[in-house]
Amino acid sequence: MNSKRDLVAGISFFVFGASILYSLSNMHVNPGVNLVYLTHYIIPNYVCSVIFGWRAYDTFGECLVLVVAVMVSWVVFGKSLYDNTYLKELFKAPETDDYITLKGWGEYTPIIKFLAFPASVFMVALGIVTILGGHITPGGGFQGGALIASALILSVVAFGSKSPLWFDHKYLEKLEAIGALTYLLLGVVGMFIGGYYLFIFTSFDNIPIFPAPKEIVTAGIIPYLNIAVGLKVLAGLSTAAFLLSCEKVIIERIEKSEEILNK
Amino acid sequence: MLDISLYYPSILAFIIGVFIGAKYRMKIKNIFGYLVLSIVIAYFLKAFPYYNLPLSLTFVSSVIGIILGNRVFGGKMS
Repeated sequence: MNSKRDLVAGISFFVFGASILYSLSNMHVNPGVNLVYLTHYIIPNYVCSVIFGWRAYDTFGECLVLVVAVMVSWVVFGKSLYDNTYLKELFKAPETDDYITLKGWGEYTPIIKFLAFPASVFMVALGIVTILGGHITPGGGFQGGALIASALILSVVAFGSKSPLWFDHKYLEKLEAIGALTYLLLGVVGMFIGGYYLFIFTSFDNIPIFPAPKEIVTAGIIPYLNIAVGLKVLAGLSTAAFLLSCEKVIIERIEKSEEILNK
Repeated sequence: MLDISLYYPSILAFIIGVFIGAKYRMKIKNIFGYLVLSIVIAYFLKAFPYYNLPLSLTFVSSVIGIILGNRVFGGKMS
């Protein structure tokens, strides 16, 4: 099992590393994105167009920063600080995959709970809209993903361990992996089609990649990149929130157990 | 005839909504209320630029997706 994972990790590292190095060797501002923003006058000047042209790379960098941030919070607040089995024994937690779901986690008043649930539903919907409108409106994958993650945080703060919206660990893992892989693979596909990593291609075999009104059909793969980033940011921020809230629970539990021991 | 180019973001929003709605562990009650409120919000949100629609259909369809995902796949407190 481990050897297969190592093999896959090695091959993907090689493919993505080689493609990034190749594209760095003949780097140009990506014409696909500029076309959208310059032809349709969404942006006022060329400076913005350069920024937008490099935006895919920029977002790529943001994603990697987020991965590092989540990994660091995982190392600091995650498994290295406490082991699941040790915790479960200490706090007599129920047997579950989610070691965060401990009983008696604090809840807010019914008024907040009454408002938090529908608010979280609409926040998720708004997050989805922000992700999908990233190529024509302010916003994008990062902001939309953060909105959905904040819906989770709102729900967790209001309902505690009985939070109605709950992304379990495996789901977050899958989202993170799907988001990152989609982004990287779309970059590689762009390289095969246009010659540059993350080249914005708009149609494949005369079928538009992103069916849209004719003025903005040049968006190409940007909406898909936004969706990938959205999933990644949603997973990353939820994991960070999940780890930090868990830390609070653990400290409370340790204090309580110390009080009991001192009596 | 249904013009897919106008409704494509709504379809994507519906699919993402189903995926996230399935993670709600509490059943969403008062569906009619949610739909009415989502239509009101969508009217004030307006459609994306270049999409000639009276309201943000993406928002409505994502709410519908969340509700459907919740009722069909989610709603189970583990």
